[in-house]
Amino acid sequence: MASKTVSKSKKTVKSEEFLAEVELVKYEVMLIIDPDLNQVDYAKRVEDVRALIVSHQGVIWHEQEWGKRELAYSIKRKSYGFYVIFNFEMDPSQAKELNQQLRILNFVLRYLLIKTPKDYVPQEYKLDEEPRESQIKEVKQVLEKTKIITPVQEQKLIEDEEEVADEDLDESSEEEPEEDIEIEEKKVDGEEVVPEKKEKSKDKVEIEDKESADKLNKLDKKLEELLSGEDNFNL
Amino acid sequence: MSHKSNRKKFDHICLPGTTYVDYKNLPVIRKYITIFGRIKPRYYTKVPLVVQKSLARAIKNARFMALVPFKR
Repeated sequence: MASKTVSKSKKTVKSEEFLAEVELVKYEVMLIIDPDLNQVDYAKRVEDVRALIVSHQGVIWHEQEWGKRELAYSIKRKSYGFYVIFNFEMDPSQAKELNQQLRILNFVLRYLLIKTPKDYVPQEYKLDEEPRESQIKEVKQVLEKTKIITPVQEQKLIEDEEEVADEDLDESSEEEPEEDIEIEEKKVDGEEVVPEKKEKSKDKVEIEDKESADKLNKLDKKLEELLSGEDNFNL
Repeated sequence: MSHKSNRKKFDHICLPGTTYVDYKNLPVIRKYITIFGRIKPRYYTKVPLVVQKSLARAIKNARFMALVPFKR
């Protein structure tokens, strides 16, 4: 009997010590924030989350922002989202309350609160897949076709695309997936190259007007198809 | 010898010195799901049981956060 009482007293002493010195646990929160927010509003919402963690006696030691990113499937009828990650230390009891508070937030599409190992070091990974060689070839072939355009059409195209680009910048600085960006960049390169060839192409057009008229019409149709394709990508 | 060579294979999956698989490590996670988005069984992956379990946990977390599709 004596031994049992001793063991009980030891246990109680241990639990009291444990309560006195609360061991902090490392946590990680990943949030998907509403993609329709402005950049200013988005920054405010991130600060709100940061303040919420601090108010629960959490110590933030690392942050990561992936920016706007395409979701693998739509959540609440939205196919994009801002990804934010916080690494912090906190009492386990406070973490439960934080979990409930995060659930209430309106602007969060989805969140994940998990424990991380003690010696966890956040790392940067390659998130997006690189486009395959076959895809790159297709893009190059399309670009070669688009290079043969009359100068008037080129100017129109350039103006249109500049307007579109300005609108995009005004709305929000979107970080689109890598493939789309690469395609756009290549097209811009193609347009920069073309103006050097403008003088040659003008001469050719003057000489062979009737013969080249049919070809040009065909190219126009292809161009329209390509442009309509781009719009789909941007959506 | 085969055991040793197998053990070196999964060093890049986990964080160094642990059996924890990070759900943000998408290049690794894409390797261990099929083209239909299902978790590859252990008789294909040939990783130890501990790692397979944490890998499955990581894939499920990545699915929940829309980093990887549930099915394709």
